Amino acid sequence: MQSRRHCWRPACSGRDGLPASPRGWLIHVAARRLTDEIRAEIARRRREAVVMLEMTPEAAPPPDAVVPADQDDTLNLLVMCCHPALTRPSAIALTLRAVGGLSTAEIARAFLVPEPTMAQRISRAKASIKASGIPLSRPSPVKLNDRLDAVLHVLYLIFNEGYTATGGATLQRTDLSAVHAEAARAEDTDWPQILALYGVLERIADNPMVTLNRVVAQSMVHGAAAGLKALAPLDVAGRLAGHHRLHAVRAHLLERAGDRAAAATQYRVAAGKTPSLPEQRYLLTRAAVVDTLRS
Amino acid sequence: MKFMLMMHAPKAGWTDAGIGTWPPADIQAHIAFMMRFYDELKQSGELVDAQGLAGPEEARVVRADAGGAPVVTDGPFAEAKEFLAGFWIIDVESTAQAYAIAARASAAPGKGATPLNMPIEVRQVMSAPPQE
Repeated sequence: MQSRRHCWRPACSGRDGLPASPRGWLIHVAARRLTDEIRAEIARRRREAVVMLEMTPEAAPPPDAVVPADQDDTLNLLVMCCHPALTRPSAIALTLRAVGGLSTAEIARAFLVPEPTMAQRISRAKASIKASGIPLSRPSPVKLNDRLDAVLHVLYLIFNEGYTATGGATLQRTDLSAVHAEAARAEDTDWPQILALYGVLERIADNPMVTLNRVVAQSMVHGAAAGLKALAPLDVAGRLAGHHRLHAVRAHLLERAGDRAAAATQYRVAAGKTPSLPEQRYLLTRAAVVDTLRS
Repeated sequence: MKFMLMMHAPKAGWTDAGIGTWPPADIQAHIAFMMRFYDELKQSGELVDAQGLAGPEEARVVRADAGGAPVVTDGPFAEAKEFLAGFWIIDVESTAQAYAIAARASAAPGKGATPLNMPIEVRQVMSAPPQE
């Protein structure tokens, strides 16, 4: 978002004579400028990745090489970090470091472990990848397919961690939901597009959190009552039954639907179940706010 | 000397009673107090650790079976009236100082911003003998 705003400025500088289609020209120049910036960013990341993953330099192109638009090294790096030999926590930590650019200290804080522990975890993960001998290049379609499940899982674990962690500002940087990031304000979020994306994701990655997030998107598009109806089957059986997030989502939807008594109860049930202290505090406060609104 | 300070909470309707029934401003004041208390102990160098524990419904009891595998059952709080809500571990010069810190925790604000004056259990953490 910041990149895009920055690029409008040079495109708007004064010129002799007006182009035939000023709007089209502005968009074209800004887009070219943005592309250049993204390519430079990709090249910089690739250089950092070589250093970070302690790989042999011949795997990387020269610093000023123009990287073709279809070779997104961020994606390559992400796929590499979601190596099947790594445990999910290790894959997440490595992804936050290599792709998210967080410091080891920041990641340790997010996971509430001492910094040396996290440093060791990331070192071991790097060593595993290095030992696997995989070069930093675009993965074959077969390999990409194998890793897709792991990649999606890591992304969603990161997304959900970022949503509830105390270090909110830091972890927001790893919010990989591009559609959310495009909205200048929360109210501008393109919910129908997000709902469609979750629909696709649900077919690819069978994950209860994906389902829950899809229900949230559904409620934003079709209303709280529709969201509550979609929640009902999740409670009965399966991995989400009794989960604190299910109660939290239900509580929010009940509040939006105007059923404040039931909302307060569900907030408190969720507060009793969540392992996250900040989330528990938020849910208890929310229950109390809803109670205040009722009286 | 290290001490563990333990905060217990009534089991009955944990989220319906106690902090679960306060107005939002009082909940926020209590949280702010706890965060400030934590920072003060950190600044003074007396804090070793401080944690809140998950609610009693989430507690489990684990016993090993004959083969050493874990057998997991519901927590021990079904008949208990109280459960351990959280703890601080502090490192202080004297028992008197441990009691003074416990008194500060006890006076955390509750409903209507009045101090709770809740009972805080204080027990010394056993340590190794000093190196010769």
